[in-house]
Amino acid sequence: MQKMTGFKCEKCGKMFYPKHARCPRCGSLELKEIDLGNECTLMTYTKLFAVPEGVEQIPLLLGIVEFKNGVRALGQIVAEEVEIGATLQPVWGPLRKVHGKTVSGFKFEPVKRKLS
Amino acid sequence: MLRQVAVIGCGMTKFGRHDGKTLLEIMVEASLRAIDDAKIGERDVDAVYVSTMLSGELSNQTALGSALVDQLGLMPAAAHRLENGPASGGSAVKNACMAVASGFCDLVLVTGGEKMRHISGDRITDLISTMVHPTAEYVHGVTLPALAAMFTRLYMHRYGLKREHLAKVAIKNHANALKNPYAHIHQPITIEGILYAKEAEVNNPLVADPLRLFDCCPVTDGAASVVLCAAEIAKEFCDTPVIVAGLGQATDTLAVHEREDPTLLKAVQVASQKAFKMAKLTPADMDLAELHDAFTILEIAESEDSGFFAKGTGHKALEEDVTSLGGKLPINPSGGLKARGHPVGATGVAQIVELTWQLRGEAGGRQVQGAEKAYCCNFGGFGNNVISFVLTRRN
Repeated sequence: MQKMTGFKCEKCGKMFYPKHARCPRCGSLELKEIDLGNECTLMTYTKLFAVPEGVEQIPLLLGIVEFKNGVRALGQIVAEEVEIGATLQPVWGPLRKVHGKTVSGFKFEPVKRKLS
Repeated sequence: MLRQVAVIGCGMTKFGRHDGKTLLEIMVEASLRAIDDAKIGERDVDAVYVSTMLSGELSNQTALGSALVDQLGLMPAAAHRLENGPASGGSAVKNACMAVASGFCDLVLVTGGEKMRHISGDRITDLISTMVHPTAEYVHGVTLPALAAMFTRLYMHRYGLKREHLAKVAIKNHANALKNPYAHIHQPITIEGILYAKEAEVNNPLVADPLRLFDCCPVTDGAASVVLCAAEIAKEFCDTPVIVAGLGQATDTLAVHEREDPTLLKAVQVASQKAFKMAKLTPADMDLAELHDAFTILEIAESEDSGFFAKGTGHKALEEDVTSLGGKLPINPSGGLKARGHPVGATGVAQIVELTWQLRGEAGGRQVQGAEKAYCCNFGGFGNNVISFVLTRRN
């Protein structure tokens, strides 16, 4: 399974997503890819009704999540309803069309807890 | 600045819908009004700065600096087209100021414009969205209203802001726009009509929850123009030159989620602090402000991060009518982007036009009595590129 990755500066330790050419904190070029993990928390979200050309799903649920290491990301949420603080996990899938071609990426879906 | 810069003329087209006219034609209209207002006669203009965000995509014309100079017969003046998202207008004014301040130019024309209304809603939404982060935001279907909505939800969660506060910004700015003949929207609205009445769901639908139609600026055609010159020669052209006392610009992360505190508009803070420092004035000295209320939440957040109110208290000032016409600090007497309209490339220039009219005492029914010092903030991207100005009246 494809893992969602962020970046870490080998010089100052700053972790971030998405990629930057230089470390946003110290300017170093020594950056390595890091696994962001498979659990994140929803920080804020919106249900978008006025979607752009290339998006077919109405409404489109979008949110900003925070991973355990503090790195955040924005993405689509695969759910009908959602609340701030919900636990989500990244999942790969088609996002939208750009110039007629489907683009894929990570979205977030609620973590289904196994009953013990 | 090396030498002071003055605004000696300004002009606008009506904002709204300009069917049957090209972008260049409305830019010419605004420019001629500004040139006429500046009374520069046959005097040579040294440079022309044109701001537009999407002229190539929407109007099938690029390099508009050259085209405008040609229409106005200002050759061999230097000419530029400047694109900096929704801050294009502020960028053009800023660069024009620097050209004059440095001594490189004495007399310059700045014209901003956009024609947007002839394009379908989902297409224009997509084109405007191309300014967000390409891989971390755009491909996910993010739009500017979506970013504003996520910002609003977090803000409500943190500071107890209610939907009634957002509605009040819209109601206030619509009321102000009724007194502005150049405004796009001349429609009084009430809290009943946009929130509580049965028809409110239909008349004021959700665009990006919790933001509704009346929380968002309209899609507008229009152009605005100013003539700037070195302050030392301003009296040759007009009795009431307005001085560009301070300006500042700052940037922030392209992706909103990367900001340490996503409810803080750091670029607004830094740009305004720079502008006030250069002007040797403080936010408390201002008689009015034009803020970039592309969404109602932005007027509240920018009123805090520009330094007028403490963080999380902007909605209280709004509640107490501090920011209404007749209040201590009227915000967006023009109607703002919300009701004057937001032809993207024109907006930053239109803010300077409104400040100039206010400082000259020529703002008609929306005049802030005795206004001597004024502030504006032109907000690009979702707060990643901000330009602030402080203008003062010279007696």
